[in-house]
Amino acid sequence: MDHFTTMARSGYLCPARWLCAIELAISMPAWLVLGMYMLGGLFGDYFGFVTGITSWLSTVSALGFGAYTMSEYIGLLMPSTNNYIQIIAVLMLILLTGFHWMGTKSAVKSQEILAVIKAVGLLIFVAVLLHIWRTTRRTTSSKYSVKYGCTTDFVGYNRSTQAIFYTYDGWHTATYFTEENTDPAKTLPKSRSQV
Amino acid sequence: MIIVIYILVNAAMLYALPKEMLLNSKLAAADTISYIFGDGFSKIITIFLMVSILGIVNAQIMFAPRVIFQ
Repeated sequence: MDHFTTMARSGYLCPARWLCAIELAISMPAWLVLGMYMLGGLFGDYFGFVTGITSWLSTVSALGFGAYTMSEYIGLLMPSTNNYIQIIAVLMLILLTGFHWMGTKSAVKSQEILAVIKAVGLLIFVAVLLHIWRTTRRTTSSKYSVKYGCTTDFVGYNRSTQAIFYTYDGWHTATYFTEENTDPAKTLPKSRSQV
Repeated sequence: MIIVIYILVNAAMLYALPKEMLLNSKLAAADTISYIFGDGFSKIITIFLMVSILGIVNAQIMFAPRVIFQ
């Protein structure tokens, strides 16, 4: 299976997976609590607590990783800030936390704006490279014409598949907001069509 | 739509960037633009990637407290 087939299949399977999770979450808005309650009921309160705190710790770790990566990018743009990467990451988190403290509406609006910028930016990126492809394919010795072979290495295939799945990951986090979803019959098909 | 965009981005980078450069690249998109247009343009992609990560961090700050709250 080549890279693009895997990318396309993952693109179908991952959204299918998180749509199932969202549908379940909408059916049972407190599903996170339910999951912890079930584990607690089956194995005792300790396991319920461990499930909850592990989920929170992994979320917070990812948040720290994101802030640190952004600081590294600032360091790439402004090398003089390279000695202050950790401080910049912490300041960024404080700033964003303050912004979210102002209310959910402004936070959601900012997220919508960022999503549109991201989609437009990616489309421009693709358009520029496709334009180059169209202009350079007419020449016989384009420096951009590089052939890629398919790897049969199992470890390499697994690593690339993980990266592809990670590309599509994150959409399930909508489950955390299901209690605010007042009209899932309308919003769920809308979100599906956008994928 | 998202699937199409992601596949096109991958196809564009695989086509434009030599394999050796792609294997050693930390920021494939920035390196692709840098390879074609020069180092000055890679900053544009780095800024765009920062905006992209800001979107992720922004969403994470929104939902992280809900886990501990619930």
